[in-house]
Amino acid sequence: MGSSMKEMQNNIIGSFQSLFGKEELLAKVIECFPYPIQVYDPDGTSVLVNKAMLAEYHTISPDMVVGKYNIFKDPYIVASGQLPVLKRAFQGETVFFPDIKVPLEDIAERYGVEDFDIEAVYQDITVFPILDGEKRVIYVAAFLINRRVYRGKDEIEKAKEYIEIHWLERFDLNETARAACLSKAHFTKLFKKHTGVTPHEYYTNYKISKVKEKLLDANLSIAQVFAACNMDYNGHSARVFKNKTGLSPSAYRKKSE
Amino acid sequence: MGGKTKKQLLEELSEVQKMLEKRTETQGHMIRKFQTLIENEGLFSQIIDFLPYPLAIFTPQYTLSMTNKAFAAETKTRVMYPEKGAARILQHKINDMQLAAAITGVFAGNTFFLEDLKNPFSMFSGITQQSASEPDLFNRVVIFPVPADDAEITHGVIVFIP
Repeated sequence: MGSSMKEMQNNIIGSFQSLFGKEELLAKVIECFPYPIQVYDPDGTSVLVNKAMLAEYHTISPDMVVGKYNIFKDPYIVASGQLPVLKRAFQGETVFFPDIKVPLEDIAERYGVEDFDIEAVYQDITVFPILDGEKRVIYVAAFLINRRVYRGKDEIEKAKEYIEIHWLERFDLNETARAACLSKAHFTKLFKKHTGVTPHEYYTNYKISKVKEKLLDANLSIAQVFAACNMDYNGHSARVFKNKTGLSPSAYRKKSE
Repeated sequence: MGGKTKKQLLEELSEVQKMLEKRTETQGHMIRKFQTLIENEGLFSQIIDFLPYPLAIFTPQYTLSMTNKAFAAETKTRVMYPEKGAARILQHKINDMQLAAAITGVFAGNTFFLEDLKNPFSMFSGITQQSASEPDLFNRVVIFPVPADDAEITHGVIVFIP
């Protein structure tokens, strides 16, 4: 009895492995993907979520989402005005939503999460269709990459977030301190203590990182790169760049080619 | 048998019970796994295949066991399910130390997020030609492990992100 049971079990495993060997591996790849993935039916109902998605939203079981959540009925998405763009994915187009702030409060309310251990998350979201042999949309998948995560409910993270949103504007210490809900003097001291740099240095470093990013685009002249970052390209800005990177803008571009 | 105390017998019975429970749990897990595969027939491979970012699955021997359509498009190959050894990662061709460490370290169960990579596709052999239009478009990668049921890492996955 015991051995025939084992034999039957081995036969089933053998059959499944020959039928689903590759599929089993790919199911694990989706499950272990470190980025959240959610798949929807053509009517917008969730049919699959991976572990990363559940972990990020503190949702205990896929049953709380699968078959229940419908992306077209999500009040946050409806209110954001992004629905027409999203619908293009359900018509067969890949669409990209850069730097979207995750509505943590809405998610907390929907799934009864008491406390997220993060202050804010911004994601790049790619929504792509899955087509059948006749090019009909059979599923739509959303692939979410965390771009910026602000952990801990402290004022410094709020200030960093404020600087990274307003990096194109002139640096304003008063406004940055206000975003952190602190007085100017206390904020400056606290910021330096936590990050090792002053708020203005942090702002400059962030701005230079954006210049570096844009210098990789060979279609832009160096002056255009600086202009795109709301900086004049002159002796001062070139010196600031060199101080931070050790290279002149042109040398940096050449090295990156 | 006759020499065993009541306490010893109870302990032995408890051991047997634990063993049976463990086996039932393993079998239940296996049945659930197969049910999921049947219910979602083909969905997992379709997600990977239609993912617009290049993805390659590799073994501890650094041979590619699977790539997706975006990988094929980016590297101008037609390889989707490479034959064993047809395409592989050549460690000596990796020009970034962090990337080299990640390709190895993934089999210790670690996940890596790397940025600012220069031409990361150059580490693959068996790739005929790389897309010339934007060679550094995919300059970020995430590398993560895929464990088997016994927790041994059987595959690593590399995904290229713009």
